Amino acid sequence: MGAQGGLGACLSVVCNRASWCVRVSCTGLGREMTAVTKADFSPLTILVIDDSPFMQRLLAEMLASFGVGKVLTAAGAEEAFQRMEARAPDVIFCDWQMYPVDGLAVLRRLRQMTQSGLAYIPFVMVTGHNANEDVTLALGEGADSYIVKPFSCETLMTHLIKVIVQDKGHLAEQTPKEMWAVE
Amino acid sequence: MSNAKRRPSLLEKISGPKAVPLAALVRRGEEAAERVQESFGDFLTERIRELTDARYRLAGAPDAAWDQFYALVVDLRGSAAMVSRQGFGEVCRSLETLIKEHIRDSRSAAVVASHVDALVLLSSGREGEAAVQRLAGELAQAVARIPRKALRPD
Repeated sequence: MGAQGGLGACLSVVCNRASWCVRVSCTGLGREMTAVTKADFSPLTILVIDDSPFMQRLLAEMLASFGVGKVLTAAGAEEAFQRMEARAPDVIFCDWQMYPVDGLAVLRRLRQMTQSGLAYIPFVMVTGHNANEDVTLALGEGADSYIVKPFSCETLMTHLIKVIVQDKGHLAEQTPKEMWAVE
Repeated sequence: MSNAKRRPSLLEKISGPKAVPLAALVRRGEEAAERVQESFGDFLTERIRELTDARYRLAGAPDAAWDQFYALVVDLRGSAAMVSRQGFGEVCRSLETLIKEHIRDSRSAAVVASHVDALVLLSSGREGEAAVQRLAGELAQAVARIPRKALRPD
């Protein structure tokens, strides 16, 4: 289904699997804006990395209540990578201010793991700092999104949907030629 | 063109027939968060104990000990904000500034201890907003008296 939008944009509404999920693409603007109104998170595995037992539990419980099928938790970098090697998560939420290995170091190490495919897992940095340079640094290192504490359930959902919509892992794992074929 | 290797995107994964309106899921999340927030008191007691134990060991301690202490403070501020205990925010921010931007010596360790005392006081939950503001102001003055770290040309 297609319709003409303003500014030369081509607005198309994609009814994905009998309208369970509605996507609105503004391809003419060179980016895709997607509005997801419904979701079934039960097929997802999400890893929460936080050395704070309170924040770890809070995030894990919120995600579980969203219906996420498997919520894994880790209190530090080493435990996180062990969990990832045993079962690759679909999305990672990681606290920045951890000790001794912080979230930025986790992100950098993860993004280098191209052979295993873990490098392409969507990564959401969770932090108490909202300075512009912190946001820029995290995004520059490959974070897909950035949540500043305190945040609401709605904010958590927004960021989860955002990284799900942006997910290109299924393309990145393929060769450039195959990527064109899928696109 | 074969898509044989293609794994489903995350968007496809969550688009199953059992999909639920996001607003309903957010409501469930809020209910879960409220249940977890009831356990904040236990976390706060434990975190305050950790800070209290560590505060007097900072004088002369290596940077790693200060960094570990800093991580505890940042976490306390973020966690307290999640349960709307804003009073901790000002004291924790003052403490973070002290640890990050000022020299780390016996004087600053003493000011750290004052901050921890303030956090202990706030953890009782009996201090009003005015008292918190006064406390934060006094702590900020104490921090201002500690020399700042020299800027490194990097």
